[in-house]
Amino acid sequence: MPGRPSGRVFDPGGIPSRAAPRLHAEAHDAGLHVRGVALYKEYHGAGTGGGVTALRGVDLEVKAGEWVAIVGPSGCGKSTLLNVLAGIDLPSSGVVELLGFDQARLSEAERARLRLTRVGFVFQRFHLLPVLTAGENVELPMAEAGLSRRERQDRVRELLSFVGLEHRIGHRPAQLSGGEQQRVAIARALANRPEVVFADEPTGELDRGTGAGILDLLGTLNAEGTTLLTVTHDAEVAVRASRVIEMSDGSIVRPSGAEP
Amino acid sequence: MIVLTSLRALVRRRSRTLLALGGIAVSAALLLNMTMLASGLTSSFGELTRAQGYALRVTPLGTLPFDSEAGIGDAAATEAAIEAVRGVAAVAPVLGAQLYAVAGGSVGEPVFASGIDPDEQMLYLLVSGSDPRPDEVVASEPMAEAFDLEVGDSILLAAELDVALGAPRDVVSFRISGIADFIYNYAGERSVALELSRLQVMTNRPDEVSLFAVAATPGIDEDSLATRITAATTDLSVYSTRELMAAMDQRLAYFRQLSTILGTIALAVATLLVGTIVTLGVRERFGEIATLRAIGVRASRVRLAIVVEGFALTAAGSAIGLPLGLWISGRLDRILLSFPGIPERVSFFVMEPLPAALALFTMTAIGALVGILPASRALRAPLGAMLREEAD
Amino acid sequence: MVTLLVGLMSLQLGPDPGILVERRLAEALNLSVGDAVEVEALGEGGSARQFGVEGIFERPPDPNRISRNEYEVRFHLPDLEAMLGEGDRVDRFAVTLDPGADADSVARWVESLAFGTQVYGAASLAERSSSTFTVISRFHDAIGIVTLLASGIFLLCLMVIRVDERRSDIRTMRLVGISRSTIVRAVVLEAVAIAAVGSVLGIFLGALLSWGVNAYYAAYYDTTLRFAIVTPELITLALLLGVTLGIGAGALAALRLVRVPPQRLGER
Repeated sequence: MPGRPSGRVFDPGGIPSRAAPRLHAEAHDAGLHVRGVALYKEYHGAGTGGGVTALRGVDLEVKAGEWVAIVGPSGCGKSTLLNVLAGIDLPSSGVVELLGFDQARLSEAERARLRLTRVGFVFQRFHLLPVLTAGENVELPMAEAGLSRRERQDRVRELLSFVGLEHRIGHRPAQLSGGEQQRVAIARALANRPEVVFADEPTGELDRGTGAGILDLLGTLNAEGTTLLTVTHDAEVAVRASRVIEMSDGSIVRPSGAEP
Repeated sequence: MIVLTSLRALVRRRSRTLLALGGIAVSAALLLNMTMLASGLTSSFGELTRAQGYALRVTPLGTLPFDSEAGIGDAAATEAAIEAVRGVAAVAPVLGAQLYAVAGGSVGEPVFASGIDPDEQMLYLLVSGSDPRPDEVVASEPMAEAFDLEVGDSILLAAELDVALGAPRDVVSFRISGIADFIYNYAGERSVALELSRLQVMTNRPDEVSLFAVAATPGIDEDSLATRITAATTDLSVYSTRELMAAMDQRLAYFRQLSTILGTIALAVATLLVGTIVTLGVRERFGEIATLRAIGVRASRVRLAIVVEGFALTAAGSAIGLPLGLWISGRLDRILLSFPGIPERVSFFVMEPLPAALALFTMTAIGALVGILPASRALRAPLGAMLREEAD
Repeated sequence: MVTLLVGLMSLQLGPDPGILVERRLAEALNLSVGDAVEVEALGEGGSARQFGVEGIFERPPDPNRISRNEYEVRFHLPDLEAMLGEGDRVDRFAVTLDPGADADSVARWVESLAFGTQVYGAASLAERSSSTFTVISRFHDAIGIVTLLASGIFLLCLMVIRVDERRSDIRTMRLVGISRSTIVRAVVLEAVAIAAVGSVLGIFLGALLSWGVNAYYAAYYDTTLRFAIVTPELITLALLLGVTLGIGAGALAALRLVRVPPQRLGER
């Protein structure tokens, strides 16, 4: 990805923002981007039949620059694990550290701020805002982070060029194919130069050929130093990843650190 | 940019947005109408009262102007007593009576006659001719039209219809000295104005008037002057314009209360409409909201976008409602002005900028605030669950 | 009506002529039967005269006089004539006819006899004196039309949203062969149900408001007049209007969507 310095440590002043809460990481291993310890996640309420345990004591560490693929059958808790590690959900018990920050000690606003400035998220169904153009979708996180209009516009062109869609900058998502939408989604995820990108089934809605193109992009990102954590059914993703973690029924069946 | 997404969502869903704007516009129009009605007639009447510069009215005790057949006796002495009060610039006596116009083969058409002092009168504005001298009258425009009168013509007027004789009694011929716009008449009213003493003789009401209109010296407080006049006279009611309006307000309490009820209903309808649109819109965009939260957009900004959406709907709807309300008020005014006996120049619906602005501001503010509840619900929902629901 | 000053003089009961006093005036002046009062006609040049309160009556509710609401006192006619100095004069006569008499003929005959008079039958008089309420009625009708318009737009907007929410369901139904008319019927039925339930709730709300309005004005004007009445005819009209609006809104909302080819219904 053009223009991103590698191995950068979080600096609240690095991205101009209107009211950035200053987050001070606890002392941690700078090489460890994601860490989960004894993670449990239970759901209760209507439709859960009395309670569902999605995660059962999961331990996981992801080093800087790794590409970790989480695989497993439907309903095994892969996406739940991804959401918990990304700070989108909180675990019922256990510890989650993302870029050195204990998620349980951050407020909702601080977790959001972390996701905005240092983490990228790619969804299975792209989740582009239909009323915004491709360019505006990519621009959105930068506007929220407080970049100037000029900086945003330059970066949008840079990112869309990186994903090969600069010529579709003014098109709405409805005018783009599935693969193009996912490319725009990836560009959006990279808007604020994240150190970690979480991708939930990035090729799930795409055909083989298109999916391969997406994987190439992700591969390029990883090669440049971005940490990737992907959930997938796709064997091709598992092949490309530097490490594969297999889950079943809320637990890791192939221990973390084991090579594919 | 977050706000931009909400506004574009409104534009994207054209049908419902246009319908919502239509519904809000009609509600805003109704609210505006009720605001105009709340004090419209009273303030319009107040303006009419002040016309010609005579802001105070002196009437028989406990009555409003021309409210009853009661009169003020010892009129000349009473007039002198009022004129002697400090702050009085002029006193215009008025005697109201019914006369009968005898013309052609008619037995006598009733006309309303006002006995005035031509040098101090506040009832009419001359269109042609001059004020009446003895044996002359000024006729209202509808009167002139009905009897085909011009300045210089004559008309026969009688004070009574004699049942025994079967004919008008004491018929007197008057010359038309002028045609005038009688500012307190209802539409089409046939009336004449003649010298006070002449009418007193014709109607056998010597030294009696129905009321006095009083003009205050510039800079004098009307309410204080009313108090002084009350002290200087007996068995009379003295009204400043403010007090007259208050008395009218009391009489027209029905309209004020009706306007409150209907105005509240209009607000409620608009609130329900905008609340429904925004709530359903938020529910439809749960996935988008989840996306925004997942990529790190602050909850406060998402809430702001939803509030702005509600605000934009009601503000735009209210802006359309303003000219619509003015148009509807004209139609409603015409209906109500067909009340018997209402002066043609008054209006039930009067646009007062401050109350109107306050009413429309209230509607817009409510429209903005109704978005807070659905926004809070969407922002409190577990993010992971929202994303899963969107993916399913 | 002339304005009279009524004053409570003393509790003596003497050979004074009698009057009847309205209940509200009696309460205001703390009068009871047997009290003596002084009455003076303003502006008539007369002096105060003494009368005895022979009875207290309840004024019949009269919508024409509700906003003025002045007190009423009843005299023997000669007493009032003497006090006003008017001599042999009245404002009007009320006439009852023998059974079978033709009111119109009598009216014209009286008018020909009594020069300068006008004779009105009861129906004609009621019509003339109701002109104020005819105006108010037209005003209320106009407000009702505006309110109906707002309600109609609201209902249509709601149905458009509800139908839009079910785009994909409708698409599926069309693709598997469900006819347009079936879909339109289903949507119309839903709209009618919403409108009917809303109308029923509105009728209850209206009845409650009517009760409140009547209670308020009864206290405000001290009257037994009813300002708002909910009749079976009104209820029927409200329901009919609501259902009609529902049919219209449902049909318009449904037709808007079913005219789009099903394969395009998935597009946003």
